[in-house]
Amino acid sequence: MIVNFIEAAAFIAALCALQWKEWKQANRPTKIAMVAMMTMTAGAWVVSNIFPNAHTSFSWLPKPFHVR
Amino acid sequence: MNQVSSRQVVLMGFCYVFSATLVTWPGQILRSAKQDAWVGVPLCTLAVLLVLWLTDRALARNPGKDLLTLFVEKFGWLGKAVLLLYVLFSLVIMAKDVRLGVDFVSVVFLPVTPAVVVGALIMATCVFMVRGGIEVIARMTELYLPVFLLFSVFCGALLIPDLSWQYLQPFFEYGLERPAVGVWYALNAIGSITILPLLFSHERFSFRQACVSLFFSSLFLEFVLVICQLNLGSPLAGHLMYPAYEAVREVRVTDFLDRFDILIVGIWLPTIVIKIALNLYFTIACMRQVVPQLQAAQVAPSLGSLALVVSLWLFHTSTEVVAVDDVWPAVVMALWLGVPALGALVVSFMSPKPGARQPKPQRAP
Repeated sequence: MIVNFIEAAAFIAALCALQWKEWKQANRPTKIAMVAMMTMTAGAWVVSNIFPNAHTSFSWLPKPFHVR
Repeated sequence: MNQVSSRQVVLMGFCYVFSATLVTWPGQILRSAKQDAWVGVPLCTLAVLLVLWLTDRALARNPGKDLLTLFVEKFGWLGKAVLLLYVLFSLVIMAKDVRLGVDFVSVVFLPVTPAVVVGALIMATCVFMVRGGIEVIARMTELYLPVFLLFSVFCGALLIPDLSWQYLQPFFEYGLERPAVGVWYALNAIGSITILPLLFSHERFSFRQACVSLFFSSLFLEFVLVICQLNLGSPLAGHLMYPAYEAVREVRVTDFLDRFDILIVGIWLPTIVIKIALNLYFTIACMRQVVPQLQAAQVAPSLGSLALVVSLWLFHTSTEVVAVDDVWPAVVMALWLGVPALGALVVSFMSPKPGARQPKPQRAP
């Protein structure tokens, strides 16, 4: 669990560091969009690594045709 | 300058329909529609042609504007809401393509490299392409797509001695049931051609050029589908994850080129990357219509990283993408065909005819 958290933190930190130059050049709406998307990225990464079972295989989706 | 020629637009439409579709689509359509799968592609092409004609009418009446711009201009907040739906929708398409691309690379080239590393490399390439603008994407398409098409035809020709024509028979064993299933799955591939009127104005491409793009992409899809069917047979090809790749592996060109398939995949992969980049560009274009102050180059890395993580989180394996693709044509019908067709129809009624002139001001008596 701790390793997963550290991994997630390192991944997000690397992404933020890579975008530091963009951040400084961005205007206000772009900064808001960047923060929103990076937060969603971090959330998806943490959820997928900390709770790997919180995932669907999409097997519940209906098969549209009965193949014969 | 972000200018693209009509030829580049045609090639980009071709690449968007043809490239990533070839990974799993032939297996999926052959599994369900069996020997009548080939009927689906031309029928679906006719339906999509109608949508392209409708969108062309709307674009011709509004010179210099693409369909995304027209949605916002004519429908206001409703148009913006539809574009946000497109953002969500194209994020899932990107996630599917990245997942398929990553698994394909893992199977063929790099079996022990972690998926996140392969995915990050693919996405980084896409982000750099999008930061360069549509011109970079267009030039890459011009560079790689013709070579890939040439190799596809070459491989098909080399496989001719191994083709068994009885795999196409019996024709229409259960009437029109299987061709209808073929149309359903063909929609998955061919329906996405409507990205052209959504992204480009009438100055960039005409209805004739849209038809050329649609016709050739359908022709090549049909070609690969029929080669897979005649080479492997629908019962076998339907149970393979990558039937087109397996068909290519059947090609043996001298003893020196024993792994000829690696050469083919090496050319195939950039076209998949181009498709993902075009999708990323489309997503940012939609976002910029909603928030015009948004800077595309600055927002591309964040959106790319979000697409990568969503792809790895949403789909743990490629088989999950296949499960989603079974019902995906419903989404294609709604968002790639229904919304552009309906929107174009309403926009056409709301816009003046191109030949109609403004009435001359009356001279005062």
